[in-house]
Amino acid sequence: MNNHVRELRGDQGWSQADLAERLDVSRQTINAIETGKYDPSLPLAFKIAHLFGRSIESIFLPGEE
Amino acid sequence: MKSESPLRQVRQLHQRYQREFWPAMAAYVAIMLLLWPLLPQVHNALLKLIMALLPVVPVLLVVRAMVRLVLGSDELEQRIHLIGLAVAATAVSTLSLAGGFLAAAGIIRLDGTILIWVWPTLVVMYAVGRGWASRRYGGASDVMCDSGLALHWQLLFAALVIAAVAGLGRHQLSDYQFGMLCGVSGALGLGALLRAIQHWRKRQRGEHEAS
Repeated sequence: MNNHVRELRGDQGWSQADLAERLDVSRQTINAIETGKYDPSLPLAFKIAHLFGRSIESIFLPGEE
Repeated sequence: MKSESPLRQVRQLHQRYQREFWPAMAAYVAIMLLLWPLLPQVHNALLKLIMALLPVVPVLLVVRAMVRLVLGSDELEQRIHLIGLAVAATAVSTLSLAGGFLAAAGIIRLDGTILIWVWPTLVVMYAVGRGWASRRYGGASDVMCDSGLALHWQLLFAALVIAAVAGLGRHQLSDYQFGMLCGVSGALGLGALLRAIQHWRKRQRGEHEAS
């Protein structure tokens, strides 16, 4: 799965640590999501979408199968 | 009142784990090396039972520390722990099965004391599996080492503790036990050195790229 988390975070001027703090997760989790190594659970994806004021499908995109 | 930052909480979680893990492990090693050899000299059945089961107490404390760490982790960290546990369960059960078949075929002889090695092997394989999974997700090789103390210092500390136990218990230990402790201490010391070199080279590379 691909995502726009890194761009959205950059637009806000937040570091990975800042975003981790806002989402109540570790910085490693943010890094893994941004690099596409980890797909977040649905509750965390909703939390990310809510934080950036967007819908889930505008942030997370299906990757190539 | 402002709540503490999650990153600070993560660090505190790992520091608490280290504070709970190491004293329990030190107690386990001390009981096994200093108290257990006295067991043949004890003739009271109840005292013998208590002494025989005493090493289980620090093991339970270690398990408690691990459970508290996992419960306080976020979803990715919990997944990494789960992968580590799966790797450990697979490795230990496969080894047990192979050992069982070899013993049943009469190729090797195993007695009941081999069971003592199940838990340490499980813990080591758990750490290996967890490190592997953590690296796959772009993290450090050990998810439990975010305690503010670098892994090479932790390894060196463990090597020194084991060397100290070997030195202090020299007169109570058999040559085999003494040699094994010296070997483990040396291996951990070597691991600390290699890890320190790796850490230093990574830092040099980072400084080179930044300049």
